[in-house]
Order: sequence, then C-alpha cells, then structure tokens
Amino acid sequence: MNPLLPALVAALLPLVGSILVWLVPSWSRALAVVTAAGVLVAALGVVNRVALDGAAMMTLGGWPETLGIGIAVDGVGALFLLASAVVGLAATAYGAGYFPARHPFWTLWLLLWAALNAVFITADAFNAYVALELAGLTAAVLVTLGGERDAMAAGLRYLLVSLVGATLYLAGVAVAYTATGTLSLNALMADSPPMMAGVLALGGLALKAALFPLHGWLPPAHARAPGPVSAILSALVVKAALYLAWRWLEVAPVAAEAFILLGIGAVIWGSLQALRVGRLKAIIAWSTVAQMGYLAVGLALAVEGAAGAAMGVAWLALTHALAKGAAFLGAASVVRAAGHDRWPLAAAHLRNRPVLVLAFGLAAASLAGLPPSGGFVAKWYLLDAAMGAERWLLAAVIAGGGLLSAAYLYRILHPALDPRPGAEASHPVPPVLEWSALGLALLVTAFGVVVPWARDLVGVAA
Amino acid sequence: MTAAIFLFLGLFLAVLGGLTTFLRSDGLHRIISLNIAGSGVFLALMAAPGGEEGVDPVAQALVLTGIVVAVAISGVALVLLARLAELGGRS
Amino acid sequence: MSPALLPPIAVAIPLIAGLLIFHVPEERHGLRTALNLGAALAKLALVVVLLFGVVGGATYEAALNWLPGRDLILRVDALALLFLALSSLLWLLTTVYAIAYLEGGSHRSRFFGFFSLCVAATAGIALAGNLLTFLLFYELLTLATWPLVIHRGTAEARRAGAVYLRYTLSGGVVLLAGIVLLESVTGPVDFAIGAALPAQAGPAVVIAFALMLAGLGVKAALVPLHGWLPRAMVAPAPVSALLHAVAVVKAGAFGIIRLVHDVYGPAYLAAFGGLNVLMGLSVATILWGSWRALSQDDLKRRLAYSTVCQVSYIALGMAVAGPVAVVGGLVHLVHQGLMKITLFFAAGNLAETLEVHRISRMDGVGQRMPLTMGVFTVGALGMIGVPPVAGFVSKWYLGAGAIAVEHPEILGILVLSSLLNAAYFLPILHRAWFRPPRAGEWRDHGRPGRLETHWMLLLPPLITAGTALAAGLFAGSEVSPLSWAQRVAEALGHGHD
Repeated sequence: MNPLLPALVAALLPLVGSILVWLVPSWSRALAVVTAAGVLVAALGVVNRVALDGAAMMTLGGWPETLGIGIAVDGVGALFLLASAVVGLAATAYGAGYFPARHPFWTLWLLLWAALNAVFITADAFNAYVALELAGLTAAVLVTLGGERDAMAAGLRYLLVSLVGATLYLAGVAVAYTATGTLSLNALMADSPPMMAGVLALGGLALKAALFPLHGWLPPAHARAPGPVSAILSALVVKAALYLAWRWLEVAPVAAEAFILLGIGAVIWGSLQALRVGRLKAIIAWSTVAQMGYLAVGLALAVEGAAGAAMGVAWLALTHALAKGAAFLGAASVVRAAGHDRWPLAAAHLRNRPVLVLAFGLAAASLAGLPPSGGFVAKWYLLDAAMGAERWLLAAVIAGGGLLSAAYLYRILHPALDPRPGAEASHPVPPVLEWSALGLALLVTAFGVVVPWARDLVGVAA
Repeated sequence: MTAAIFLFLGLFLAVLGGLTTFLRSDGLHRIISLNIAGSGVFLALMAAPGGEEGVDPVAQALVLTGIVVAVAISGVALVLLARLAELGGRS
Repeated sequence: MSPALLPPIAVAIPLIAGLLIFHVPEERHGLRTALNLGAALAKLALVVVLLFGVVGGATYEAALNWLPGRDLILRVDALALLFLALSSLLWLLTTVYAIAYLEGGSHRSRFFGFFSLCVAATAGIALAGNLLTFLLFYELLTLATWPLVIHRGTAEARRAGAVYLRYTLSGGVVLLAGIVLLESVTGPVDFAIGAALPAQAGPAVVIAFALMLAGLGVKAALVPLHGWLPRAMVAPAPVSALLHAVAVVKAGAFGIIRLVHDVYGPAYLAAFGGLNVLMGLSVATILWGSWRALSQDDLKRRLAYSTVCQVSYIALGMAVAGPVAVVGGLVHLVHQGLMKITLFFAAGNLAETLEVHRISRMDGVGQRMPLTMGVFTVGALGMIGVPPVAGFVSKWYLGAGAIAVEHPEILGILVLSSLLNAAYFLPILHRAWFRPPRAGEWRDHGRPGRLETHWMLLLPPLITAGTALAAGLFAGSEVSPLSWAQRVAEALGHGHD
C-alpha cells in the first residue's frame, strides 16, 4: 500500500469527524474518540510503510511535481505524525472526561487536528500556509473557550500574532515563487530562492513557533487555555511551525546561525522565567519556550549537516510532545481538583494522587533529559552531534540546559512531596483524566528504551 | 513603471501598518492596522513580478487566499474584541 | 539457561522485586518481607554462582542494541564481582536491619520499593561493560536514591533531597559531557578493550578526563564536591548505611577505578598528569574529611565526614598506581563498606533505642548497649587502622604501594590521617565505655526481651563487624577480599596498558 494513503487518512479523517460532530453534537465524544483511534492507526500505518518502503511523494490531481500540490512522507514527517496521533488520542480521551458533548471544543479540536496533520504531510509551501492558518485560527479560538477575561485577551493576542506570522510567511512564499516559479518545497530546496524569501518565511514561522524573542504570546495563551487545549498547543501546534521551519531551513540554510543564537536565548530566558512565575501552567508554558529553543539549536545543527543531529531533533520533538502533553494534562487535573493553579498552593492537591505525581515525575525526567526516558536519548544525540561538529558552546548549552529544566521542574515536584495535608478542599478528578496524563508519561519513558526502530526511520529522507 | 509604483505603495502600506500595530495598544486599531499591512503586502506581491503580460495567476491565487485568511481571522478577532469589551477588559 | 542471561538477571531480580513491592499494601508485612528477603537471597545465590564461574575461567556477557550504533553491555569480570558481591551481601543485611528499623514507620512499601530499585541500579553499575551502560545506571541510581533521602517528608529532608539532586544531577550532566566528548574522539569505549586513545593526549582527551572525574567525584564525595553527603544524613539510618557503604559513594569510587584502569590506563594518565590531579584531590579529601569530622557533634555527620575521607583511600590507591597500591585501594572498597555499615548500623541502634543522635549524649552507652558499642568499636578501630580489623590491611597495602613507587609522602599522609581518625573516634569510645551514664540523657525505649534492642537490629552489625574482623585476620586466605582484590589487580594489569 502506498504510504500516502494512510497519510491522507490521517489528515482527512479529523476533517470528516469535525463535520459529523457539527451535524450530530450529542455524539461528539464518541465520534471524536473513534476519529482519534483511526488517526492513530493511520499514523502507525504511515510509520510502518515508510520504514519498510521508504519515503514517498505524490501530487494531487496527478500534476507534475513543480506544478501540483505535493503530498510527501519521509521518516521525520512520519515521526511528527505519530506524535500528533498519540498526543491527540490522549487529549481526546482527556477531553471526553473534561468537556460535555455539546461543546464547541469538539469541532474546533478536530479541525485543528486535520490542519496539523496536513502540515506534516505537505510538500507544498502554499498548502502549508493554508493548513498553518487553519491551525492558528482554531487554536486561538480554543484558547478562549474558558470564557475568562484573561483567556480572551491571550487568545486575541495569539490570533493577531498568528495573522502577522501568516502574512510574513505568505510574503516569503510569494517571493520564492516569483524567483523560482514553483511552490513545491523540494524544488525550492534545489533551486535556492533569494535570501529574502527564506528570511520572510522563517520570520513568520519563528513567530508562530514562539522562538525567542518572538515568544511573548505563548506563555499567556498556553497557560490560560482550558484543560487539554494547553497540552495540544504546547505539544503539537508549535511543532507544526517547527516542522515547516525545518523544511524552510533546508531551503535557506543561511538562517541557521540566527536560529542558534535565538535558540540559546530561548533556553536561558525561558528557564529563568519558569523559575519565577507563580502558576503551575505558566511554569509549564515557559518550559515550552525553553524547549523550543533547544529544538531551534538542534535544527540548525541538523541543517548544517552535523551527524546525528536530525535524529536528535526528531526525537526531541517527539519526546517533548509526549512529555509536555503529559505535563499539561496533569496540570489540567490539578486545576480540576483545586479550582486554580497558583503554585505552590495547589500542590497540596497532588498529595493523595500518586498517579498524577508519577505522571509529573516521568514527564519531568524526560524534559530534563534523564535516563531512562526518551528525552535522554534525544539529549545524547544532540550532544554527540554538537561535539562531533566541534560546536562547544552548543554542547554546553545542551548539557547545561537539562539542568536548568531540572531546576524549574523541581519546583513542581518539591511541594508535591510534602506529606502534610493541604488547607483546601479537593474536588474529585475522574480517573480518565489522571490516566491519560500517566499514559503519555509512561510512553515517553518507554521511548527511551525502544529506540532502534527510529534510527532507520529518520534516515529515510524525502 | 506602474508596477513599480504599486510595489512601492504596497511596501509603504505594509510598513505603515506594521509600525502602527506595534505602537498602538487599542485592539481595534491593531486589527485595522494589521489589515492595512496585509493589504500592503498583497499589493506588493501582485506588483512585484513586473507584470508584462498581466499578473501571474498563481500570484493572484496566493493573494486571494491571503485575503480570505485575513478576513476570517479579522472577523474572529473582532468578535473576541467585542466579547472582551463586554467583560470589561482591555486587549 | 544461557550464561549470557546471568548478568541481566542479576539486575532484574532487585528491579522486579522493587516494582512488585511498590504494590504491596502497607499492612501486608509478611508478604513484603518475604519479597524483600527472597529477592536478596536469590541475588546472593546468583553472585555465588557467578563467583564460582569466574574463578573457573568462565565469562558472562550480555549485549543489547539500544541506541543505533551503541550497545548496552552487562559483563561479569573480576572487578564487577568485587562490587557486586559486596552490594549483594550488604543488601541482604541492610534489608533485615531496615525491616526492624522502620517498624511503625509509614510508607514502607514505597521505601522498600525504591530500596530495591537502588540495588538494581548498583548491580547495573557493577556489571556495566561500557561507558554508556555505566552512565545509564549511574543516573538511575540518582533517581532511585533521591526518594529514599526524602523519605521522611519533613521540610529538612526535602531540602536535603534538593541539595542531593542539585549535586548529583549536575555531576551526571558533567559525566555525560565527558563521555560524549571522549567518545567523539575514540568511538564507543568498552571496558574490556579500553578506549582507542590517540598516542598524544590532545585537549579533548584531557578535558574529557577532567569532566568524567568531576562527574564521578560528586558521588564519590571528592572535595570540593562532597557537600551533599553530610546533608543527606537526615535520611533514616538504613538509607545512610546503604548510601555510604554500598551504593552511591562506592559507585563513584568504582567509576573512578574503571576510569583510571579500563578507560585510560594508568600509564596514559600519568603521561599528562592526570594521576597527579587525582592524587592531589584524594589527599585533600582525606585530610579535609578527617578535619571536619573532628568538629561534628552529631554522630551520623561525623561518620559522614569519615566516609568522605575513607572513600578517597580508594581513589588514592588508583592515583598512586603500581600493583600494591591498587590492591590496597580495591580491597578498601570492601573493607570500608563492611566497617562503615557497621558504624551506621550502630548509630541507628542508638537513635532507635535511646534517641541518642549526639556524641555529647553518648556517655556510658556501652553499659546499656554493649553489643552495639562493641561492633562500633570494631568498626572504629578498623577505620583507624588498628590490626587485626580489615582496615589495617588496606592501609598497609596503600602505604607499601606508595613506597614502592617512591611516593613516601603518601605514607606520611596515611599516618596523619590515621592519627586524625583516632582523634575523632577514640573520644567516642572513651565516652561510651569509660564514662558513667548521666541521668535523664536518653529516652530509653526499653529492652524487647533480654537483648539490648530488637534482634534484627543487632544481627546485621554483628555479622558485618565479624566479617570485617575476619577479613583482616584471615586476609591471607584464598577466600578473603584481599586475595580477590589481588586477582582483580592482576586482571586489570593485563587488560589495557
């Protein structure tokens, strides 16, 4: 079977699902769960096919490559798709326990998911634009679903930032098209459009990926979004922009050094802020800023050809998605129990919930890069790549950044381990909420152990 | 020649709109400036290729899509702005 | 059963036991005890099998492809067995002790679960066949021991845990950096083969050594990276016993042995001065640890600083190099373990039975708890280096080894350190035996039966003290730790340089 078929399914199934959910709202949750299962099967199918048969590409409508809208899967894209499917499934399960059936969440989420998956399988720069904008729009609205003033403001800001990024990206695509006459990403890589195109497009993508110093919109949006939305945002939505940035960096490698510089800034600034803020979800959101910095540094290393860096970046993206998803789902459970997320006040609600503590612990281990988690494997690869390329500063940042992460993650665990009972009454938390968080956390730990199959996957280039 | 004027005009609008977005803090102003900036970008994009045989249809398609996206986002942004005003906040 | 499975089984036994124990309900004491002791005995039996095998010339090795291009290797060699045997024996005894010590305590399933995980990690460190595997289990050890340090949950315990994590995680990162740096020059480093080092030690190789030494030095409590150890004394006595005699500190020292002998080779290190650095650090640690111990009134803290000092003897033996000194360092791994665990068991008994934590309140304790103070005396004399306790044997070999390579000043350091040891141990003995007890000093929990305290608190230290004594008295025999250390030293000599 052509690996592109499951890829298309992965992108279109949520689209169909969102329409069905809109038509029959009372079945939302069941429909969503079924869709999620389907997407997971499709993603696994893509991974399997790519591993066995290699990368594949086609153009919709059978047009020649430089003219038509290309769909492509390679090893890296398959891994991102897998991350999307797994975290999406957990988020859907969580949402089923969190939101009622007749709730705008379902339509919006499924649309967002369709858009994200479309980004991961596209080979056309403009198709990417459309998908990215759909994702941005639905994500921003999802942020506001809670209805509080702060969430509205954060969502509006996210939306406007999205528009700015979109316009920049579109400008970049247009310049590239004018110079080379094609919109296909592969062709652009071969033809080297003028630097301006790359700068514009990457500028827009950096904004959407919250790369320092363009990160300001992320912490409020991710911290104030309701429950599973934060997980979806931090784990998946920023990854879509990152994925496109990876493709575009291969088109315009000159921007790699800028990514390194900004990435280091992100790691430092994000970690410092995470040590300061007083709310659980804000800590985790700033952690995303820092981790996107790592990914930026790793991307630059990969594009510059450092051996093993591509594997490191792909693995880091995958494990970050899982671990961050687990952390935010856990945080949402804390908010459900406590009614707020002021930290360390809300930590008391973790005290009799070993499932949640374990989920946070395992997620923290991966984010800090400790064995046996997947995060450790990613860190090993990136460190190896940096040292192999004799980029000592980057090696120090990669190694030391793990310690910074450990420091602000410890802020989460430390008060949770205090055995004294808290002063506030705790609301009940349905088991599916706790267990979806733990499921992702266990998975990211397992990914620290079952690595070999991924190596071959990443090596399969388009 | 005409193309160059449109190009210049488009860039000017883009920069103007961009600056205003940053400098203004009022939500409505920002949305409007962003739209102006967007229009400037679209204008520049259409004018850039030089236009000997008229505008490149693919460029037209790009810009049309861009307009649609901008309109959709602006619409939602306006709704959010209104809701925010109801709740008594500043954006 | 394929012999290649034996090393992973040695790690798997405590691992599975730990995972199972987590789920045992708090009140099922019998089940938990059975799991604990059963696993410990099973592991000890396995170690005996491995011992016979290695003596007979068999090799056991298991490799697993983990990262692309990199394997996880578990291999039984003479050095691994030295550490593994020590840890298995002491695990059994500490488990018995802990069962009694934590009677009435809370969260015992959690405690023993992490306890077993800690032992699994230690087994992995002992059996690691290459740098990557070593690093993996080294980091796992940090994660398994931290919950034990904070077990009591008090604010002080959690603060100590934070300090512990800060030190050990930093050490882990530095070790990781050193390993990746070295392997970028030499390729993956297998302990049986040694690193493929360039003829001239370039900056990368030297810096990698410094980084790895620093990373290992944190756990081995080399000055100035030792700060976490005295703070960690807030943990319950069985944890201190395990951390100090068996797991964490020894893991660091064990790593240094591997680093010097199986990765670089002493000759290569001597060429760029690495051995001198190690020697300087170990001497500084020995002196500093002894000095700080003098001023501690809290018994466990004094023992902690004593550990800082004593574990550096192992590093010193490696730094002095030469076959005799190496034997001294290696055998001290075992001897120090036996003696120090005895001391901590005794300290735990004093705390449990009389609520005595401070030396100033130990007047006349020997009358009330003669067995406990008896084993304490044996341990203390061994630390000082008084024959026939085992400590004398290690110091003798270290001193002789120093003279053999013409570093007589090391002998002076050893003598000075022994004097300092005497200065902080003898007063304790004097107080305990020769001063009359003061009224109202102790909160006596009474005697269960005719013994001075619970028998499970007495039996382990008696065994360890007796073994320490026997190891010294019968050091010349075939089955003593000394002869095993000599065997290990020979094997090391043939391996790399």
